[in-house]
Amino acid sequence: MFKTEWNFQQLHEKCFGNQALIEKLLVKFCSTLVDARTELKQAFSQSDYELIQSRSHRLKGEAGTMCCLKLHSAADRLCHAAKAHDVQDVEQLLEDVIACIDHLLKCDLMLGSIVESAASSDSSN
Amino acid sequence: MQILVAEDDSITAEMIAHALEKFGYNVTVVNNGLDAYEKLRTGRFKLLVSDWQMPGLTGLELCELLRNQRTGSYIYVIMLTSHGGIENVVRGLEAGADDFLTKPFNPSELLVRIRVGERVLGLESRELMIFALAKLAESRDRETGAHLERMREYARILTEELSETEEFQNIIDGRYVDLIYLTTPLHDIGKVAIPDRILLKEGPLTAAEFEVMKTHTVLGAQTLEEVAQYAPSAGFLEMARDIAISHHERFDGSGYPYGLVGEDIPLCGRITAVADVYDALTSKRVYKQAYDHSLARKIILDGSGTSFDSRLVQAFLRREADFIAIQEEHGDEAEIFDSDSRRNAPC
Repeated sequence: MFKTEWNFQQLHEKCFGNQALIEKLLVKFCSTLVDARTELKQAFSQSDYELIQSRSHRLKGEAGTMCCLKLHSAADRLCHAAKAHDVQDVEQLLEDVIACIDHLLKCDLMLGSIVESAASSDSSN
Repeated sequence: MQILVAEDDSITAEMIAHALEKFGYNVTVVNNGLDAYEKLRTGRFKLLVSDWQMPGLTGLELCELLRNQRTGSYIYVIMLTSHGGIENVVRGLEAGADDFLTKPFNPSELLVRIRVGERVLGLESRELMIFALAKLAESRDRETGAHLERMREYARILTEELSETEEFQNIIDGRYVDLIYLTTPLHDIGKVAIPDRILLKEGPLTAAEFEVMKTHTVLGAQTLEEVAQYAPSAGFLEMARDIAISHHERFDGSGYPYGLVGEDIPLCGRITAVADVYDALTSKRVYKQAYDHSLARKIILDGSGTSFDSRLVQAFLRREADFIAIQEEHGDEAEIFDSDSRRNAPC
């Protein structure tokens, strides 16, 4: 289940195993997730579809870079729906995105142990 | 190689920068299109990795701006985008992008695309070709030695000095300096069309012979103009043509071929004029000995406002030490004629 949320192995490879970088990016990304959650909800309450589109587009990019596959995909769908001003779809897809974000933020606590195990795996190799 | 990354998503920017540094490149990151443009104007960056959507200028707008300014070295542009579809690829290519990298990026793909860019930039061996061409043209003339090497250094110094002044700082940037360094050697390319009996004549030219000699300006510019029509993307030819046609114009209109006055003379032509005359004065020629710097300085000062743009003369005075250093480093061995024993000045 976790791998569909976050492909950590891929992230590890992208960062060339640089643990310090990974941790730094994780902290930054989690902060971004919190902001995105707030901004998207606010944009929806104001029916600002342009903002939903631009913010979800950006979230899609960040999620993709961080190898968060499910969120990347959800943000992409939300972006397209916002572009089409499809109110019903936007509402549903926004919920999906928020759910992904919430799940990832909970996963953040687990990531500490994953980063450590990856580091010890590297040193034994 | 210095690579500029323009990406407003700091996470992606950091990861790209890390990957490129890992591959051995020097990387600078900016987070908006306007800052990217300012950085690119310095001439330090040959390769740009740019996001599509950014504050200030978008990646597309940045690309169009770069391609519309057909001066300076070519900048290879890789657009980093999650905008899929053939339509967006076409838009990007029309704007002047050279390659695309889709998000989320893959470091291995990034590396191979950067390497493609390096190969393309390596094809730009024009600097060597231009200098070789200029040297070939010069080889017929008795003015051999390191004339072209000195000329381009003098021109570069003057241009750099002018770029520090309020009046010229919006006209001259790093790319302009690079360009004048590159194209100054072509100033006398038209001399290849001057008959030997005139070009190589040891004594003074007759009035009719001088009229023929003067045509080297027009002939050089015509040649460069014709080449430019076959290579419209070679923006440097525009400056080369301007230098060829105008480096013998004089600020007060007494020059040739057209008797242009003041700022009607292209700036690059005015700069080359000072560089060319200084080198002529401080070099041995068939008709004169080499003058020392003091004498050359006096002659140039005497020509301020008449032969030369006075602002350029002031710039020359501020950088005299550099001119002297270049003369010493690249000077042809010659007996120096100093101010105490001055004879006829060549200009």
